[in-house]
Amino acid sequence: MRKIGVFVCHCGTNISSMVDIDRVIESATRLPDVACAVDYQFTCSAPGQTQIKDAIKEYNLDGVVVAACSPRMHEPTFRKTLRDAGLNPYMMEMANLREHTSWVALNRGEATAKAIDLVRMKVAKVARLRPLEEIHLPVTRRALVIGGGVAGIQAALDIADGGVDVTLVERSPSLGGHMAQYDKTFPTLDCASCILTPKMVEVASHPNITLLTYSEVEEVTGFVGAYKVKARIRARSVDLEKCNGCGTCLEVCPVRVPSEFDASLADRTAIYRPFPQAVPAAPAIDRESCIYFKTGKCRACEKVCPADAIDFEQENEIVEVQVGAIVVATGFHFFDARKYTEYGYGSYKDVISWLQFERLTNASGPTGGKLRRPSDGMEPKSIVFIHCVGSRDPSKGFPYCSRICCMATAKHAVITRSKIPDAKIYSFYIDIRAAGKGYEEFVRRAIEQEDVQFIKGRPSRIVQSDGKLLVRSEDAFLGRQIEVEADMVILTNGAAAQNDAAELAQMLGIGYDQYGFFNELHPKLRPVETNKAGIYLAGMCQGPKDIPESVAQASASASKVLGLLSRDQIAREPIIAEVDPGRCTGCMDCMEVCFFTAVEEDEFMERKIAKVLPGVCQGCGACVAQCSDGAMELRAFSDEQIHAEITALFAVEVAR
Amino acid sequence: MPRAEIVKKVPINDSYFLFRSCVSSSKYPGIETSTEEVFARLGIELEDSPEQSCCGGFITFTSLAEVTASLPAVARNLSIIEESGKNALTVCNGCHMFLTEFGHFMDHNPDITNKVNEMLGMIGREYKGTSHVLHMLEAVAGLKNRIKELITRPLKGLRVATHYGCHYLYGFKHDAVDDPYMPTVLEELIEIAGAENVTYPEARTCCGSGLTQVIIHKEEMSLPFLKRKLDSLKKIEADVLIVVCPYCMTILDRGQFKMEERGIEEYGVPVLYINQLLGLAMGIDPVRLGLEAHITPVKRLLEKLEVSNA
Amino acid sequence: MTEEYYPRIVGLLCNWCTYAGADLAGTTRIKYPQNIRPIRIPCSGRVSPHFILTSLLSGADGVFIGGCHPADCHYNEGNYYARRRFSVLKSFLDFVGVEPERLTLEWVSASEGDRFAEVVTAFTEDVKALGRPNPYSRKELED
Ligand SMILES: Cc1cc2nc3c(=O)[nH]c(=O)nc-3n(C[C@H](O)[C@H](O)[C@H](O)COP(=O)(O)OP(=O)(O)OC[C@H]3O[C@@H](n4cnc5c(N)ncnc54)[C@H](O)[C@@H]3O)c2cc1C
Ligand code: SF4
Ligand code: SF4
Repeated sequence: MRKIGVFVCHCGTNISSMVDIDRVIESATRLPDVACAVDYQFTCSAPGQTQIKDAIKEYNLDGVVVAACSPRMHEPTFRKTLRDAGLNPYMMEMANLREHTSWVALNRGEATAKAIDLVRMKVAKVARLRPLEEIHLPVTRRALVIGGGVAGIQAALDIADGGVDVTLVERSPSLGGHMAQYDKTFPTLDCASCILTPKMVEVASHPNITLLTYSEVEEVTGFVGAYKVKARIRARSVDLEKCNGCGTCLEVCPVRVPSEFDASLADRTAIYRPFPQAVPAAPAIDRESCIYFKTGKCRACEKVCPADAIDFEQENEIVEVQVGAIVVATGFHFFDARKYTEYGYGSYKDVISWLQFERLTNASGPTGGKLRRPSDGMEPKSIVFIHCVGSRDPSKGFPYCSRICCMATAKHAVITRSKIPDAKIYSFYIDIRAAGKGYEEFVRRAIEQEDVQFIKGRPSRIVQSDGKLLVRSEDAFLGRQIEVEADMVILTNGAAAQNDAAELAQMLGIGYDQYGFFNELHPKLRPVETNKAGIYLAGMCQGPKDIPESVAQASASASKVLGLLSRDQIAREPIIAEVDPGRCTGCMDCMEVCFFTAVEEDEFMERKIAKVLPGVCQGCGACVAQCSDGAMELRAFSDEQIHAEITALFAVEVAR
Repeated sequence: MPRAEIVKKVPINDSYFLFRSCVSSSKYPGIETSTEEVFARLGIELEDSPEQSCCGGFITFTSLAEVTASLPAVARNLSIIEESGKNALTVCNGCHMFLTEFGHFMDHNPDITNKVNEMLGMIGREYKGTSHVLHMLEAVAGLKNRIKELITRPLKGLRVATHYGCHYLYGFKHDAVDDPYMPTVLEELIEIAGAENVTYPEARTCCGSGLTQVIIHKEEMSLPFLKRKLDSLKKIEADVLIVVCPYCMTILDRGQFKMEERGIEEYGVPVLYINQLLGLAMGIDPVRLGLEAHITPVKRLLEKLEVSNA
Repeated sequence: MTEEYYPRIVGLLCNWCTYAGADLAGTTRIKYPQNIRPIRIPCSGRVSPHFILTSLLSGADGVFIGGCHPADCHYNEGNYYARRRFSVLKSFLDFVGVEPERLTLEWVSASEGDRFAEVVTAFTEDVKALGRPNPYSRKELED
């Protein structure tokens, strides 16, 4: 028989005011496995814990029930108490007499009856607990970073500086992400490429970083400490080793297609470098538009390349890497402003997106930084910004706030003022959200010093008439219809998740929300972890945020990775599923239901059985409920233990 | 969305329930007669019911009572449509919006539907939620290929402008057959009729009537909007303006008269319902199309057609 | 039986959502009937149909299962398994004569303390309204 100690907490008067503690103790004492039942004012306090430790020694206890608050609050505390007293920490259960009882009960009678039941149920469970040992897993000291925007760059550098090898996989031909497209950044207006380019160069030259651009992750298997990653390096058609980045090839290529980097405001060639400061500097051939790949003729670039770097025969290459941890930093995508047909984006040439505006004001952009409108190259004298195009609009399926737009629009307005001092600048907003260090001040500067007219109202329509764009809106403060004549309108189309975010999440086995942003493990306390151990998040892929936050998250992820990989082994909670090889019939139903692919086929006495991978199993127990042979068990939540809790509830008739 | 895909969603039947509109029946009978003529040529039967009443929108449009006060009337009308077992066609943006939007509302609020049905029970009716209500424009868009074959007098050289109306553009859009904010189905039909499509900047904006709510009638608020619209229309020298709603027709047709009468501006752009235009292109007698009931004269338009068809 | 019928309800609450929601009901001091005895399980996907049967046979008058809202499952899909298994078992129990009011599966998130109290109150009322203890408990069957 077990020797169980029951420790009932008063929690000051939080519990004792509603629960008759004496009766709980008295009833517990009468239970078969209970060796001692005592109460205390604050069981979680140092003397309270000492009471438990002393009792463990005195009564030689092998199980403990703490009847106090929620286990979600103090389970770790009391586990540690047991460990300190030399008892296996998993021989403890908590009866929730506070959150589930005293705080919610209407009267003392009911609360006491419930408390007595809960303690009896937990005693029955503890009588069937088994000691568990933490799982130790070996660790591969290398990390993978997916995405080479500012977040991925920061994460890779921090990890690499910590002495751990990093493989960075970036889909496009260059590092940089969206930030590389901007001219200046709010709220300081410092030059985006001046602060980003050095970091990009550092990534490329860091001895601990392997940079794979024009590449994608194809498959991820394994578990924390031992992920197996397959990445595909797309054929760049340019030998990275030989190319010296001279750019001669770009001058001869006859093809012109819209440049993604310039948001279609300018053209690029088929062999292209997204932007002059690209890292690596070697261009790539876009085989879909290359004449040679379409017709078998041309090869003009090959003829001029002084380094003999062009390689039309290059093929996609698959590389495999083992990593202990992964940082996902795949960034964002834009809401398609064409969905607001009432604004005419896509049909009126001078209604542009704010990414296009970034390119129009960028010194290395298509106009060399001169703000000119696309239709006729005229300098716009009246400019309208419209906030929240595809943000905070449930009717378009985007009810969330994109967070960066208010600030970015203020930035754009200030930049506009510096380029065209006599311009009329209007900004239509729903609310101004400028929470951040120096942000409110920046918006005030735009309003007060730069003479930007902020108008509260959501425009209903843009009408093009006599070469003017007429922006119709309400002015919510005046309660009036207004019309603003504009030469150019900039839509701040909201931030959306990458189109393939859901597929990537499924490949990695991490959660994502209905919009495609990846889910953190806890919105407050575990903001960069995911539901999959060893996979972390950084930047916009987790939700809209600005550069400082993206970078902070990246550094946080990096420190998590470094912490994880600083150990030779990783300890994990042992609450996982377990197969009874004797009972398992090898039907593999468990494998079907396991979301985390934690179940594998194995062999036992020459027959097929299921095996749970301890590092992968998250302990949900879906497989246990699925197993029709009773062969799968979940530690600490076994069928036997839960059945015991249920039957114990009805074991005695309790007077109410 | 490519247009072909859009139109596929419209159910094409041998017969429909024609949901009549108060405004058209009382002011522009041509809307309904032209519909009957066009559909007769298409070989499609239209059934109606003397039981049908005002869609229920009047209560809301005039701000007479709470929005939900319209529900029993809407539900009663929908139950009549259900009884016919046919898909319904409305000739009016308002009817369409009311029947579909409130139908949708009731389908998602069973408590309210139960209450409404209690009331309907008193007159031996029940709303089941099985009907499907189509806007006339969407139905003819779905029938465009068959209409093409019936065009005997293509409206060559006719400059045609459009006005969809706010309740079409901003109304109930969860099963719109086209981009709700920037539709183009009407333009396509005009081309099928052989006419030339002309656009004006204010094509998709309000006629101003939304601000008057009829009963409250603050003309000084609404007239500037009407003027802005008509001014913009006048500039492009359109021969005719096509609408898909009798209420829009009322405002734009009679509004021109009002403007002239007050000495504000002369416009003289006749306003036709889409089926009236299609009817002309099918060679139907203008009298059968009810063009004589229009306030802004259609004479010049008909003359131009005579000339081009001579 | 002369004593007043006081239904006893077994609650199987997933750790991440409903159990936490119940904690929040406590933290915000929302009162609700105390007939329910919560049992903490990692995920509603852990609920074996046996748990429900054992509860009913042992004498439970109602069984309340709580999981995360669809798409919110901490383990991604556990609640979908719960929903499937639950509906199969429920229709079976209905078939053998257990009143459907005695079983419920509810989605309560960690932030819905008020909702937890609401659904538990409603369920307790429903079970109470049946007016008699679960006739299929071993005890009743033997009597
Ligand atoms: C117009 C505009 C102006 C802004 N201005 C400012 C500003 O002034 N100040 C400020 O603080 N913030 C600003 N922001 C916000 C800023 O852009 C973001 O916070 C920042 O870019 C987020 O960085 P990221 O690395 O998370 O994402 P991204 O910059 O989007 O980078 C993601 C990278 O991952 C790569 N990638 C994506 N999917 C994959 C995949 N499956 N495999 C491999 N690689 C992949 C992409 O190619 C890209 O290089 C602005 C945003 C906008 C839209
Ligand atoms: S940040 Fe501002 S503009 Fe952007 S979505 Fe939020 S409120 Fe709208
Ligand atoms: S407990 Fe969950 S994660 Fe673990 S093997 Fe079973 S189903 Fe998979």
